[in-house]
Amino acid sequence: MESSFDTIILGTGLTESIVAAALSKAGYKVAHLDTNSFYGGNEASLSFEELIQWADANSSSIDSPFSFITYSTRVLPQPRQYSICLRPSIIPSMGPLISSLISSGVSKYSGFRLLDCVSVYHPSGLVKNVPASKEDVFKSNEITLIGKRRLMRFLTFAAGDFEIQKEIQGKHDKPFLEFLKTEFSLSDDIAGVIAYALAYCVSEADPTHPALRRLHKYLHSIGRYGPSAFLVGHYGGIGDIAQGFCRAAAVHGATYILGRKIESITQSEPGNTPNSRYTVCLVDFPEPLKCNLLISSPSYVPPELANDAFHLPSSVFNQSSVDVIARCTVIIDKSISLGSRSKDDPSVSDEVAARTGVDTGVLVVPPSSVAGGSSTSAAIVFITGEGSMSAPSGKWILYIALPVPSSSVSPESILKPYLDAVLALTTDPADVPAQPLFAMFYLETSSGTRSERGARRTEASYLVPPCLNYVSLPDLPDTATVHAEATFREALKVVGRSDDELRLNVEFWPPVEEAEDSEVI
Amino acid sequence: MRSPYSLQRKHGVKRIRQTAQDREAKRQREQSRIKDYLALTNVILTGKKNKDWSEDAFNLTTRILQLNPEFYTAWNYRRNIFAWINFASSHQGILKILSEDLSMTMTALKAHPKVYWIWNHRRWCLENIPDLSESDPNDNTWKKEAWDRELFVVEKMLDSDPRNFHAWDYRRYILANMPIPRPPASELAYTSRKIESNFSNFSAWHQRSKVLSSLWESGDLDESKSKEKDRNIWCAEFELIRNAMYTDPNDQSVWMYHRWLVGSSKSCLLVIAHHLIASVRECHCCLSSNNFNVFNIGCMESIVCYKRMLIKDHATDVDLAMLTRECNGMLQQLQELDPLRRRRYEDLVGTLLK
Repeated sequence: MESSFDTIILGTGLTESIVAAALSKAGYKVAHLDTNSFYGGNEASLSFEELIQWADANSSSIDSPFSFITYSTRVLPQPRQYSICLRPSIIPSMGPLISSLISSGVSKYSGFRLLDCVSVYHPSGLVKNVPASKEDVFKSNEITLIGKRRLMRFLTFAAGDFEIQKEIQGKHDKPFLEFLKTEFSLSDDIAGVIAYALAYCVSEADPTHPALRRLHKYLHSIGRYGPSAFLVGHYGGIGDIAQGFCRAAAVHGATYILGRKIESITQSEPGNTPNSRYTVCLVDFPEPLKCNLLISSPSYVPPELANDAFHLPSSVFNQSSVDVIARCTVIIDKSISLGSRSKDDPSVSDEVAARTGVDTGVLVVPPSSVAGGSSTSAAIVFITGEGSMSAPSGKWILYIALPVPSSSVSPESILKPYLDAVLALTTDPADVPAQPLFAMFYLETSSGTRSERGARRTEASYLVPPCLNYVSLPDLPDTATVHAEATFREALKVVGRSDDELRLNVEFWPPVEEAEDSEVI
Repeated sequence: MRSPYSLQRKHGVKRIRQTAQDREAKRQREQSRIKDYLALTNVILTGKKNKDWSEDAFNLTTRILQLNPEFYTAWNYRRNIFAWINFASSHQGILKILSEDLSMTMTALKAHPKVYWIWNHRRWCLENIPDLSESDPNDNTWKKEAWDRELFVVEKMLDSDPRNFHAWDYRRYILANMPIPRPPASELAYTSRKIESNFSNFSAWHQRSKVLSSLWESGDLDESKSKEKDRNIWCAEFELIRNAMYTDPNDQSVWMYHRWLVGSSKSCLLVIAHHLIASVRECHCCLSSNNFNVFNIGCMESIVCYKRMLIKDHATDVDLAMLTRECNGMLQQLQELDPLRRRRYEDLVGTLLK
């Protein structure tokens, strides 16, 4: 086996996988390693059996961002038909990830479906649809006429070139909720829906400018592939997409080694032999691997090389106030109603539609809307079923994510009120809450936005892409892509061929080749 | 749903330079296709001239129409053959040909949703479904099913393009000619759904106006009761349009329908006109007071329109001088705000003074 590479990439998280695909496609020799036996790192999508193995392995690990993992049962029928994502996300239809999926051709490896609905939980226990478009505003019978005009005025502002409008000047850091109420005279109810369910703010302190930037992107995503702004990837979403990028890298010659522990990483002065700056030795693997450029996810950085590693700066979209997320993953066999109208059969009246469940949808729970829940943070419930190929027929995966103040809380007790509220929304038979077939709770600790560590050299030979922080449900995939492109550009400075005159202007994704004027017969 | 890639195929695609050989080969292929097409056209036109009503000729029309569904002479010829020779002499034979033609035009419509000849041919097929038995209506299930299916087909067409006026026109034709008519209320519900999914759709509003007119015209025998009912429908319509007005006052379809609604309610115009002016003015005030959009042309034009109606039809009940003055003022403003239609506003000022 060849053991000399332009770059060795450690970790197959979404960011690293995109980097691997981009570098391979650009013609560099890549070795991509992961100590796990699965692809996707912290963003992995796992079968039920793999999930249990992951939980057992991570409950004792200290490097992992996941802690306090508890689960209810090891056994479930049809365990292989589940694709459960560790950090579930939805994908805005416009944005860096979708662009990369299209221009890299990786979208061909995967299927996608639109999100059926986004709803918001009301303290009364009712679920309400979120008015995101002109049509929703027009249809709504809960908003007053003047409320409609104000809401439309705000949506037009947010979808337009808001940066130059007078409303925003000097108010970039003002809490978004307050901004909505004072600048656009929106009612508490509507302002709450906009902030939490349209802009995916996590608390009432979220600043205006980033919220507007997110909302702007989501509003422009509406209509690209259908009425919803968001896509959900088949087979577990972003975990499967990370694997898709790995596949694209492999197609272009990258070498993959999974499930081997790293024995050592050593550095030597670059001599005459090419690609010999770093040597990576794997446990139970005969040959050491050599490269000139090392790229690794933060958890792979060995302490002895900590000073060598150049941590790339985090994207502006990655600035988060959230340090710890309580998560739960629950499997149910009763459908949940989010009160959305059935798309396929618009003749069904709302009452009937309310009783038919949702396949793939999001329920936003604003602060103080669930008894016993958080009064400062919004929780996001994401449900997906057979329609996204993530669960067998008649089963649904229900994810809940809630930012929590510290890592000393039990995720189970803090999420219980939310879980109960959602399970009560079952459709059949009415009034009997769904019983979870399986429930797993865990905490995810964000390693924070690290300051740039390591000597910043013009050509750093050890690159560490920034961690993905929890900012909002749809944010992770695009942030990963932005980080991946920054890492790719940085990598080119080291491995870029000297004959490549414009080596720094290489396209992230070179155009896909296709014959001119493919004929239509 | 399909992967995003297939929808975006044209972008980010590198064009590969073709060699001279490739281009020549492509030209040859195109030439031969053109030659075949022209030859086929010739055969068809000659056949038509020589009154060749054979089954072979019928099959040739199928071939050419699959290549070019806009060749209306071929459609006419096809129908001639069908009418002239009865190679399908039995009812079953006719049904078979008609159902084949219906599915053929369906395929053609998917590729060419706005070709008149295809829609026309479907009408012709439907109209020529034979009555199997005049005495026993149960025997006509095929006919009934065909017309019902048509409604489904046209709904599919409208799902893919809700503003395809060919499809709307065809829908009205189907509804008017179905062997068993559907209640107008269900059509009203259909337009509601179309308008809710996008109210910037003149065709859907137009359809709605047609349905409402027919509802009003058909009116119950009991005069007073019907008036009450009309009023209720009218108020519901007014509420609907008010919602649209506040959601997007810059959408012209809103104002068009508003005008139609006013024009259609002759019975209680005076009350309504005052009511309308008040509500439009309220909308206008709300727009201007919140700096939304200082003056909204649609709002102002409608106010002028309704005031002119009052002046014209209720001269004895209103303060003419005041109304005229107000209209005049607004028209002056409109001339500045909407210079493209300045002459029209000037003309309206002229009619006011008469």
